[in-house]
Amino acid sequence: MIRRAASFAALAFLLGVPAPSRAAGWANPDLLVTPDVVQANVGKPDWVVVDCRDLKAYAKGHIPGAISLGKECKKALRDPTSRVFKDLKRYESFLGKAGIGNDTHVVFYGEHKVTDTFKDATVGFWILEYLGHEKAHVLNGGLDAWTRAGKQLTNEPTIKPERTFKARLVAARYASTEEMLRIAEGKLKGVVVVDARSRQEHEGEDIRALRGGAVPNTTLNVPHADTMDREKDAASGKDRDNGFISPERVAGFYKGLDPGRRTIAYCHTGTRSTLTYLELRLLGFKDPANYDDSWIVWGNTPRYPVANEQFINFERLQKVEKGLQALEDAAKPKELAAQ
Amino acid sequence: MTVGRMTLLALALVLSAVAGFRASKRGGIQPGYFEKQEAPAYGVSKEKAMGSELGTGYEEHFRRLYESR
Repeated sequence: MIRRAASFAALAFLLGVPAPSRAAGWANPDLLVTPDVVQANVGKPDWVVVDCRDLKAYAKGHIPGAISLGKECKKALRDPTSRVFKDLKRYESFLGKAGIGNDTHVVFYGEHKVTDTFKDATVGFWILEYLGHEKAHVLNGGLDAWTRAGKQLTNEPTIKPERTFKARLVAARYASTEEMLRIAEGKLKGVVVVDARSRQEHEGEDIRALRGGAVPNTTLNVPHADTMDREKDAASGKDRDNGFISPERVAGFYKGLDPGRRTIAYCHTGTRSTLTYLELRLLGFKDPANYDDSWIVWGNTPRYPVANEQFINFERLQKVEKGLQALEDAAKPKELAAQ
Repeated sequence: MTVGRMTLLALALVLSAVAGFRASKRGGIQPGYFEKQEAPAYGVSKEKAMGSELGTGYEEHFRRLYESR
């Protein structure tokens, strides 16, 4: 047996057969599932499929056998400030009552086009991994993938029997503001930081907090939507992201990074960056993390340093408002004339 | 009370009712406003419980899911 393995290794070396490569496919493909996998397992007692949309969307139609948490996953699994609950017992109680135990496979799915909840699925995935759950998955393409596969929806709701869930916190999957501050001030080196927001937010042109800009020493800006596969939108005729991710496209965004180094993703509320976290996990990064506080805390705290720092220019804003008003006023007589 | 004074009072009553109705219509403060906007804060609204659209079993399920442990 050992001789056979050694021969295979030598042959593989000679033929240049690569180890599971990031370019060739996912290093951890089981984290993503297909509609067929969901369909084959959704009825099993040790599988829970979570519809991450709100209850209204769930009531209209969902994957048969999927449960709802009553709210979008990002709201159900985080506090009103969009951050994880500090009280782990709350997660243990909530997830247990939802039917999720430590040994339960959990598949999160959202919907990209209509309800923009693909990110909710990745929030659920990250939180479960942070809590030490080892069988969390995401349905690639979410509900869009299910319907494209020609599978039926139902409006018959499902409740799974209660289970026991014990959190075994994996602290490394959470990046704190303190850690980010040490990186920003150059006191902690060797950590890769990925900004998952848009280029405009990263450059400080799109200001969504007291200040616009980025955390100093951010390594890369990889807008989360850019990493998704693209297809032509039927309505506009333009190429747009479609809520599916593939290794060929995703790997290209992180090709210069060392998967052995700690890599932290952030965005505005730590929501979009959970997609980055999932992608890093899929690519086999050893120590990825999500910065839960993200820009909403960083940008609104004046004592934290900011790269590309921009404040809202109220004078410019007033000029823009006046310009818009002038345009509206100019359009009015034409509208009246048209009537 | 003379008939003239009674007519004046009736007219004032009608006019004030019309003025009140117009103010309510223009201002957006209409019957049921309190129940819709303010009552939930006092816990006395008739707002639907989570899951009620799916049936009473689900309403109870979501109530238990979100109750403090």
